[in-house]
Amino acid sequence: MTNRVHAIFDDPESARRAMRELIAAGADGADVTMMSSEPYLESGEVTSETQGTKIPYFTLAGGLLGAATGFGLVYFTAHSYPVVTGGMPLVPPFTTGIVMYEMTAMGAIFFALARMLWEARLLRLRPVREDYAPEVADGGVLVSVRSDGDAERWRSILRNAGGLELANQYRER
Amino acid sequence: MPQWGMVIDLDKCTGCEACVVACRTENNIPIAGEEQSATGRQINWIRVERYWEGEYPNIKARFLPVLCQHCDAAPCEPVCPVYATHHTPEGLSAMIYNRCVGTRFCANNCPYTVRFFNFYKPAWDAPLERALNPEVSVRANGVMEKCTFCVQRIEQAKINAAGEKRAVRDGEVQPACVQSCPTTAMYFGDLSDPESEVSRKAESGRAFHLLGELGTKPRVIYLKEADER
Amino acid sequence: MNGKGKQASHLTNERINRDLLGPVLATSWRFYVLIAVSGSIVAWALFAWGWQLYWGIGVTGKRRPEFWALYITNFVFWIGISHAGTLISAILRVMGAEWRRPVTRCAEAITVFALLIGSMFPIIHLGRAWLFYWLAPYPNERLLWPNYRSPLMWDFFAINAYLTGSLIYLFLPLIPDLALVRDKATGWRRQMYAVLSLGWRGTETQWHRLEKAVSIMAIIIIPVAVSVHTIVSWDFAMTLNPMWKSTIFGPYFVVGAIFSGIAALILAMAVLRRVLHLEAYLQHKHFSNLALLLLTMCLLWFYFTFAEYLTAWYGNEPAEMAVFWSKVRGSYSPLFYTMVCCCFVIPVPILAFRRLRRIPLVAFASALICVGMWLERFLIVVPTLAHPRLPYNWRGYRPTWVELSITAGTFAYFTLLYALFTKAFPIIAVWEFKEGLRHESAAQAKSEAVPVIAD
Repeated sequence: MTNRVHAIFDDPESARRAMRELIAAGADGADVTMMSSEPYLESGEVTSETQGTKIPYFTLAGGLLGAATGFGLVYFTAHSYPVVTGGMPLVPPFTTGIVMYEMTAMGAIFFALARMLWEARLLRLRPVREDYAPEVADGGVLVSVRSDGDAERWRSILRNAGGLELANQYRER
Repeated sequence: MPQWGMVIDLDKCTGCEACVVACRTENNIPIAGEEQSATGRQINWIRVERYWEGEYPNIKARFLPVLCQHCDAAPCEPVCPVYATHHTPEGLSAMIYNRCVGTRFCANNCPYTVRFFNFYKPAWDAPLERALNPEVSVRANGVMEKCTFCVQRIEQAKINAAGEKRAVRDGEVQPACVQSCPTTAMYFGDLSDPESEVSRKAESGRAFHLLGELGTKPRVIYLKEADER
Repeated sequence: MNGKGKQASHLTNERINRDLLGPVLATSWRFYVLIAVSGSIVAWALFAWGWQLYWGIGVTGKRRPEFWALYITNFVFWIGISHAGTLISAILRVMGAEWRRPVTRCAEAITVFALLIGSMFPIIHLGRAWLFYWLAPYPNERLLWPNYRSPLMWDFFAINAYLTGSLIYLFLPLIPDLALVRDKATGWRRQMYAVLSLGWRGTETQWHRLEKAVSIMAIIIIPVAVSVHTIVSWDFAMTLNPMWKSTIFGPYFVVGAIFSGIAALILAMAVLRRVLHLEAYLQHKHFSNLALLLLTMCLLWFYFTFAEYLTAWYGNEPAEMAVFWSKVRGSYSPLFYTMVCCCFVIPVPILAFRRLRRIPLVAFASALICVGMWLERFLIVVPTLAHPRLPYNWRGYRPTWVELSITAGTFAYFTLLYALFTKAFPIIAVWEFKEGLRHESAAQAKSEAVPVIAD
């Protein structure tokens, strides 16, 4: 369990100011995070953690895989058993196309979801207990910084920036 | 490989419905009863449609025996999601009762309305359940059925012919309806054999296909005088 | 902790949390009454279905030649209703329309439940319903695979794709709100929401990835939704039957689906607004905008219907005219004219004139449209089947108590599911709503700033 220092701010601007001061004072950008109950993405970010998402690539890959699965499903199952179709084509392009279309959509959806869950590091409950505060639900913006050894320095910077320090971790109610 | 087909001569048909009765007996068709028939649940693999033309006193009755046309381009076959209806290499539109889940899409797509559904468990009034034909399967509740060109008789004839190491003779296979017609208005045989009776009858100038303009390519050919059609 | 100052509106963060999370955290006796009533109707419908499973499809009113009747009508109707969510959420999100925010989750929930109910009907109407899984492509010892040429198989794939997509599209924006409820709930419910919210904390990365995934989903789900109802329409258009074999069916059904979907959405919103006291959130402008969309769809629907009937009438083909006259002046004409009144004649003035476009009247028009569109589906399915090409086989149709019970049961089931949903999850997307308020105040501040700079 890593040691972290938490402070709650009233609005995202002051939280971001505090984050910049922390980084200027030597904190690693990857160790400083901001948590809020609303997305504040349009007002700029301090760390570059929102860059470099691969979700679109995975979506595309999922779509192609889905199309291939759809085609394979129709083609190989039609050829696996000698059903007589009375002169109709065994793998008609239109109907194969329809099945491929739907499977493409399904593949794209699943891969996009999977990649999103991976990149957002969801499906883990422990960070909520260790690195979160319920004051976020009331509209506050939480700034969290890893504090191996520099805890006092971070605390004073956060206090000076206007944050209310939170002593305890997320409590079980 | 024989390509089975049927010719029905409407100029000879009297509308007696002997074919309907014979078909019921041969193919274990369930009895619907008075109430269910009134609702439209009666099953008749072959039926004689009667149309009245003209006003009194110049009324004419037209009789049209309608059965499954075993279309070469059957509209009922592509729409079954489980392949319960398919086409055999000999040209029959065949039905696999065990595979049918009862979506009834095939029945909706048949322009001749020759497909029937078992709305209830098939039942016979006593003692008719003892008169079932052992060569024909009894269908279950919720499956589709229709005319099979008496495929059990076709198979039996093929087995006999193979046993005697010969081909099936023309006229050897007679579905129940063809066999029972008192005016011999119906013929059955191999359309791919130019010498067979059905092929010769089909060449007649009176020949037409029922709803032929739909392009279903039926294998039942009707004969009728052109000016009265 | 009194969050940000909201200059643009009187809605404080606390007030929003209280209003929107209130139904989730507290239950009134009226909720239990609603659950009891709709639950008993559903129980009766289940009994009716069990009756049908035991005795056979013969207990319904279906007969030769109407092999499809009320169940397929319901199927098409509910899949049509399910197009509400996609239009509102996805298209408006892609276009960046801000007014969609309080409406999205109502709409997405309607989609998911309408799809769940609609997809029950292909199973209910089967002659051997316990074998429905034979439509799924799975390896079996008989080496049998389904027939992909059948429109019913396309239905299978399309509805599964749409259901999966809609569920995910409903769930993704729900995650932050589930986290909100987790923080406010106590006891076992906190544990449940902690698991459901998947450990959401609201970091910048998580917000960014969420918004990215949601916008990608929105773009994918729109063509899927269009394809779903097109494929449902092709259950009819791929046949040779008179007045079904029409190339217009694809777009016609999609337009009808969006039409009935928006009507259902307006009705649901009006009910929620009254019952959950959401007057500050579902405002007149939302109903007005949706009413204008509904009007557009109404005119489009009328255009397609007119085109279809005109071409059938002009062609004067006997088989088609038999069906046509049965609808226009035959045994189905009372239903036909009711449908025209409910779908077009009465709603158009209500939706078109601003003085009449008020919430109670718009909700009334939407209810009429739902009834009218159900009748429209019925009139597409039954008259054609009642008049096959060989006139000897024409026959009328009358539903029995089994079909009517199951139909009523599905409406009750929808109400039940929707009520349970509003109990378990906030029906208005809290974070999206707050984000919208922020955008609104920022836009207002910007527009107020311009004269200052000009000074």
